[in-house]
Amino acid sequence: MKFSINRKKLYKALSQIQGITNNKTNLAITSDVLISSKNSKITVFANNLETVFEGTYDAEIESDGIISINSKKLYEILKEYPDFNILLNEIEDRWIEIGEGNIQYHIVTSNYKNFPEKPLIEDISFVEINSEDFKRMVEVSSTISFLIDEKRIYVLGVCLEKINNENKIRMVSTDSKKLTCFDLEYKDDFIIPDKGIIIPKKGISELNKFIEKDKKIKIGIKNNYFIVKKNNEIIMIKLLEGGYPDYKKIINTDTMIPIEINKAMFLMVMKRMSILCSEQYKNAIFNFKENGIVVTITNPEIGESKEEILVDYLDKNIKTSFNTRYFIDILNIINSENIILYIKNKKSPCVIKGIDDNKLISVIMPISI
Amino acid sequence: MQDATCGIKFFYENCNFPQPFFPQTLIYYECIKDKPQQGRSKVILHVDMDAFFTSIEQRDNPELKGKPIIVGGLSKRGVVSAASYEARKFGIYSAMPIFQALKKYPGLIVVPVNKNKYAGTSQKIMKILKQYTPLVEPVSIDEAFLDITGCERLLGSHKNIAIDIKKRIKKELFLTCSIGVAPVKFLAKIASDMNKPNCITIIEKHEAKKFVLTVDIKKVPGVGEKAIKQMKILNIKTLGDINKFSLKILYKKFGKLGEKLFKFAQCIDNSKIKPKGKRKSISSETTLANDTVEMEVVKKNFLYHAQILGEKLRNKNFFTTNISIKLKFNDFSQITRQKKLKLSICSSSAIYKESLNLIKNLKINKKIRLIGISVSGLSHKKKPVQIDMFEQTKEKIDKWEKIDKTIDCISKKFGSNIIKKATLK
Repeated sequence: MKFSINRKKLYKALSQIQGITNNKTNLAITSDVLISSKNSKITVFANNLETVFEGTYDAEIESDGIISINSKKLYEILKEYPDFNILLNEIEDRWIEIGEGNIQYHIVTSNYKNFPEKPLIEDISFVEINSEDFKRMVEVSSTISFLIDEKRIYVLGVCLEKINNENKIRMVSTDSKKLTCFDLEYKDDFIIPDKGIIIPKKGISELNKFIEKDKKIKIGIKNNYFIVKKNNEIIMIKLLEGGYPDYKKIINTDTMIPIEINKAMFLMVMKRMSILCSEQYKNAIFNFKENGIVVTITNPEIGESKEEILVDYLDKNIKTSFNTRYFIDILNIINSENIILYIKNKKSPCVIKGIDDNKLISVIMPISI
Repeated sequence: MQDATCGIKFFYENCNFPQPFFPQTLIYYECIKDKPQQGRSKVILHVDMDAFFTSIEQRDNPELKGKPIIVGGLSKRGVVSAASYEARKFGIYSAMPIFQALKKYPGLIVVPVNKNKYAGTSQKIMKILKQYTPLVEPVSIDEAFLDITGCERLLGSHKNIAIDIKKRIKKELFLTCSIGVAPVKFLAKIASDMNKPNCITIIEKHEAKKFVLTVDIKKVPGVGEKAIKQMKILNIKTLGDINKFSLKILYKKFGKLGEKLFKFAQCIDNSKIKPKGKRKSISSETTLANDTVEMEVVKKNFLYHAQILGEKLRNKNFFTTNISIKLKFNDFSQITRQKKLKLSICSSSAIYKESLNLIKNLKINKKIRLIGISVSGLSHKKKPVQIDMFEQTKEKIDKWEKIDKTIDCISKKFGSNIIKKATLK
């Protein structure tokens, strides 16, 4: 195999798959990338058994072939390589030469026959989707992460489902302490199973890198894979199997008390409050009372702080407690000048909506004191 | 009754130093008066009760007085918890299996252990000691260190303080003790042991450095059997012999103990008297009647201990956030596993559940001899808990807590046997 390609083009492709190939699996070869050259095009292929990437790029091909090379090292070489074009040349079995002239790398490759095969998926019915909105949906959902030893499927993955009677799809992400729910309108007929699908959050964060705002995006579901297509590149994410809990009760604000508040101001209060937080003491007390919220935090190791926010609130007094960091996380993803907090009692969650942002609903669970 | 002062011995009496003790004490006393803050010189007392358990039993039952008795479990597998001085004459010592003790002297009287009585007496002793100084460090149920540095003006010389303590314990509790007085902690302990029982041993500051050199290495706290073997090879008999070796060699041979011994040999002991703080943990454990591998037996024991611990916690209005289990095997090796909890709990069921979770991941291929649970991270207030969106663990635990509290009330009113877990019947 021998080909020459625009360095930037290949570098960009490799940078998109670093998340996939750096994910350690039982199979060592998944940290490799498979490159094949044929008919004046090369194909870059990565597969970590959960997420699969394939991209096709134009190149000047001298001879056909397939190689399996360490993705990270190739990426690093491409990053530092100075010339416009780069030459990859398989000089003998399993040895490849990168570069020409003054700069030359001699790299050992793996046997490409051991590379996990691409899942056989054909006849995917794609629908086109607004890439800017879809990118935000993915961004919002990937703010809620999970811990290494997590086992709950609904925390490991996000739920993508259809809202009945409306031309909308919804992505729900949660770690059982906070939740985001993002709605997106679409026109074409997009088929999602009734109970929704669960896409792993690892795949979602790969998608976040994959989607570009100004490029057309198509999505589809087939054979237990969620598939996203962008021009010459495609990403396939293996779905998780399991049930998703009933979150609809939690985001229902019908019986809750709304409080309008300026987002920037509230965010500043939360940031100041979190200064005194520590691993052991992370809860701030929120005292909702007539025309104001009094937020206090007490950390026996450092001290305490208190702030009063003036709001339009005329209901009963409610004393509850939240983790201020959760508020900071959520407020940062709301695109709206003013927000509405919904509360009910000391044990009820706090539902947050942006006044000018009807796509996103967020929920934070309280801390019992 | 022997007068408490009779037992006073100054170490130079034993070591054949020429001076009589009285003038010496006076000089030292003067010294303190002149320069009370001089250097880091301290006065440490080590109070050690004489044959504590058996003395209490002999006190409470005059028939046992002057007879060889031991306190220990009544089962065949029991060991001697304590032996009276009369029994010690027959070579019976604590931690010896009871059947062996009986072999040594068949006429031995075995008295069952009454933990609560000993603990109560111990508390009374500590209460007396605390009247002399707040710096009382209880080492075990029957011994304590006292730091009386700077108390001389208030309470008299350290000799008088020691005599006074001894007198009061004798008068109020009819028990005798041995007291060691020294400028450093480890010497105080050695001193109290030197002329046991019923004796006060004083090592004066200016003699301490000389005295240290003569201390038998076996008597030094921290030197165990393994170390003694090594000492024999190195021909170390006294602390003075330690000085023949460099710190580097000692560290290589004995690790941290070597470093400690090196300092001890120069009469340096920087450990401070740590007064007992708040209660840190509660534990409950039993040695099984027969070694077992049966999971059911283990579970049943866990349930039993969880009940005891839960009741103790609720009685004292405590919550725990840390649970650990302990298993000892028939080869006397033991393992402990612990877990930090997200919730503060006090219900027996929750403790039981957590202990089962801890053992679930263990591979046990030896017979179990002892089973125990201990709870720590105690506080009177529940720690704030992040409520979960979909799981109601907290609610479940709260419900069990209510049930357990009701059971406690019923047990208090009608006796502890009236209501029980069915498996524990």
